Amino acid sequence: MHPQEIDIPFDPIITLIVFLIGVPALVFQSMSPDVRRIFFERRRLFAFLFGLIVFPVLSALVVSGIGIYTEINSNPSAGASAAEHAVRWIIVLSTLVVVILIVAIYFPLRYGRRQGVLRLLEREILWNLWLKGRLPEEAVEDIIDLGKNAESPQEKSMVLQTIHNLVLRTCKHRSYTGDNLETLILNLHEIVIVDSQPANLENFRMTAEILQAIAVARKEIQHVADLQRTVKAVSGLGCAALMKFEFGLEIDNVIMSFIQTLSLINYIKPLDVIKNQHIHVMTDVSEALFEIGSLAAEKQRDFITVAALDKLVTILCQTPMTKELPPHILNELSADVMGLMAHIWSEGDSQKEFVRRRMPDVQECLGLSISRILGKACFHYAENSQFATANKLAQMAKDLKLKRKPLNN
Amino acid sequence: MKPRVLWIEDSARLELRNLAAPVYSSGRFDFNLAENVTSAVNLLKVTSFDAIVVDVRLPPGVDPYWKKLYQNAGADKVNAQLGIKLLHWLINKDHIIHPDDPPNGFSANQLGVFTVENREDIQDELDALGISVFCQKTTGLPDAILIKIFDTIIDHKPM
Repeated sequence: MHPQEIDIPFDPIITLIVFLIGVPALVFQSMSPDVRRIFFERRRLFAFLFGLIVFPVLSALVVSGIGIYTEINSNPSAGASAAEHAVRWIIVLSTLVVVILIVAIYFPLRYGRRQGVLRLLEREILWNLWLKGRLPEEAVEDIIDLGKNAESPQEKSMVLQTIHNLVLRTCKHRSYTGDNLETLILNLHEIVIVDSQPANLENFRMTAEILQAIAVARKEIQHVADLQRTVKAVSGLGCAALMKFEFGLEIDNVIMSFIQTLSLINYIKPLDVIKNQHIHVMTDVSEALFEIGSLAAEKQRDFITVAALDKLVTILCQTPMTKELPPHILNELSADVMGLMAHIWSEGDSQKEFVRRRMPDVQECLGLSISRILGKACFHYAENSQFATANKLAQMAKDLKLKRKPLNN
Repeated sequence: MKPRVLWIEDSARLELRNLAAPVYSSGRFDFNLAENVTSAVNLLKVTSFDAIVVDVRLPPGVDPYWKKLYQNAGADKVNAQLGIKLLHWLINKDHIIHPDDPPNGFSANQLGVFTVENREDIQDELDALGISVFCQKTTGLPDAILIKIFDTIIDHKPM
């Protein structure tokens, strides 16, 4: 065979391969900075390079090589027609175009978009969970970062949905002991509270549901650490929602879902092995209700305040273990009730009347006089440097002494 | 002990002050609110209730199975009737609705339906479930209606 008889379309082949090499740069450019960082800082570079450069280029070289090989080995004298030649190169070039299309369309979808990266991370986390029974911290942090940097509420909601799924799978895993979700719980609020973006109510609501799912997912836990973190997260998010959103029916409903989550945690019956630790979860729940309730009182969100107080009184008076509670725990619970009552009391006359109506419940369940209960609560807050609440309690005690008769009626 | 009650109602946002506030203020109930099916199931998993009032038109929440049922009905609360499906799951332990086991210990006489639907429209479902307490949401209902419904369920009176 004479070299001059071989007709190989090198120009289009080289053009297509060069274009193929350039596609990763285009994908790289189209990635948002946080997605790019996940690939380049978090050891996923290999997958990216292999998927986007090595594999497609190798495929293109193999396809071109096959074309060239068959061209060289074809025997023009044996009647290989021009049509055969054309068909061969049409097949080779079409295959190259298909590889380019796959790289240009599929890979940006898989790697370039938040959703694609989220799916990859979710798969990695579930694989680790299956193998080791724990969530890989680094991948969880990546998901949190994706949520924090999401550009729209819909993207955040997608991240939260993934987190919900991970939470359910983790809590159902046989190795879940109640202490595996630290990174996730502690950082969850950062997804919904980002100062640079307007807060989205639906995402607050979804976060409340995720935290509820953590609280109820498994009963036979050996540690209460995740429950305690959940309470802190609920408290922080509830207060943040009160601070971030102006008055509205919708927002009250969302804050109610945080209050409801706290109430739900209080209903969980602990196993005997964690009974003592669980008592401290109760005090955390009570403190969280006090924080949300007192902030709501300050912001004149009366419905939230009334609901928080109702829950606090219920915890104090109706918890099955109330009678067996150690005195210092009982003191903390009653201080939270009285502290919130004092905040409500300070807001106006009708609030005072409402507090007067609810006070006998507390008096009855503690079996102490109101002045004694108030004195103890005042001491508790002063001791904890919460002087504003201590002052409000002192004022309430003063007001009640002036109007002792109507109260006893 | 105060009776522990649950209201599963997504449009509570509209009725929150009118209907829920009197329940909280009364101090008579350990009152709980769930605004979608996922939250309701979370609550039902951890504790029992003396009375549960359910709306027919409920959103699914984040649980993927309830979400799928909702999407199969065209993502429309009216068509999906997740409230009715939730009741079937709880009472009849219908695993076609949700693969998980429902919490135990539910009977029809702990349950009531409070919805905008006409009684005639869902009477067959109520009969199948054995629920006798029904109240239609209309204009001009007294603010204490929810308290009345809870009392009716707890006292086992017909409504």
